[in-house]
Amino acid sequence: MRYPNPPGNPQSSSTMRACSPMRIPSRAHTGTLPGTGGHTKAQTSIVLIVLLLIIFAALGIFLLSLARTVSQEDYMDLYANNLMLSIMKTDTGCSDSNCKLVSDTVACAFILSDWPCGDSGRTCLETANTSLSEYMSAFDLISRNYRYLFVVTSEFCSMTEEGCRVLTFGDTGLESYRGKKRVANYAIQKSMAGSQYNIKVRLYLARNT
Amino acid sequence: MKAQSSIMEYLLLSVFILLMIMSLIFFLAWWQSSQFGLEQKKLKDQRVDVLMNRFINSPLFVTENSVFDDSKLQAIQSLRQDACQDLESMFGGDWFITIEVLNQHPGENIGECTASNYPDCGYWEMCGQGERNVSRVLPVNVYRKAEDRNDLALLTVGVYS
Repeated sequence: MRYPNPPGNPQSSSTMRACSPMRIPSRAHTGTLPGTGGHTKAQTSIVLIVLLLIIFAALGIFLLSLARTVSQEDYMDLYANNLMLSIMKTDTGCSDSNCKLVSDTVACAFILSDWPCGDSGRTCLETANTSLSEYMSAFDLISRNYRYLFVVTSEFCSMTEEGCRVLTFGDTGLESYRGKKRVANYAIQKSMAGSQYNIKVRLYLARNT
Repeated sequence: MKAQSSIMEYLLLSVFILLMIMSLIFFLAWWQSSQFGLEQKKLKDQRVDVLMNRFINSPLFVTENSVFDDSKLQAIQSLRQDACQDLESMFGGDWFITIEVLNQHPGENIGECTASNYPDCGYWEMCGQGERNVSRVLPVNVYRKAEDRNDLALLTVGVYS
């Protein structure tokens, strides 16, 4: 049976069998290769699950990042400052006015290291060294967990300035330590040998690593 | 067969999503309760800090900032519970303080200060009620009036739950 050419295609002519069954490939309406429809769905599910997992994990990480322990910062700053203050105000046991308190002894050690502390037979420097290490070790929190360094300089001298006298007690490595350290300052005004001195004492505290 | 597997797939996915939602709910509930606990501890810590600051500056106890006067401490100590009630009316309730001398000199008594052993004694405790909760320590000095000497001491301040 011959059919006439369609109007838009004058050159082509075709022969069709009227009742022959036609095989339509499955991709004609799915748009995928034959037999891959289930795989696509599974892939979509997996992507969805992975997406959900990522969202939940991100949420969990975000919330956990907020779960910080109560800050001890203010308390530790207060502790460091009071530690400095109380040690400097404590008596050394010497009756000599230049060595009565730890602050007097530190000032004396800075100005006249070899000055004898009364009848104790020790110099200011020795007394300051002994008192500071003894009193610092009296505090459990410090002796167990912290390293310390006392740096004594003149008030008008930078710590790193050349030619300035610097006296240190404790772990000298702490000054250049790059980790977190706490600092407390104390100022001593002292008259000795006819001169007025302004001395700056700085305490560094850093956790044992 | 294909329909069955498809249903199974959806079922598994639903169960999985349900599990995720449930775990999220549990996580958020745990989160909320832990945050509540942290907040409670933070408030107690803050109260201890406030009390600590008040004690080291209160003329009732100190001669100058952070230097406790042993005669004042002894006077309060000797009043015992009456003093505690008065102090609680000033500083609020449910707290305790201990001031312990650290650099004891050879031969000195390290026991609690009482009317019979003062000034040869080691520590003062006020408003102690037994089991303690949140406490913090701070280095201070104790001025020994009889010897005109500053000793190194440790102040412990705490609050009860």
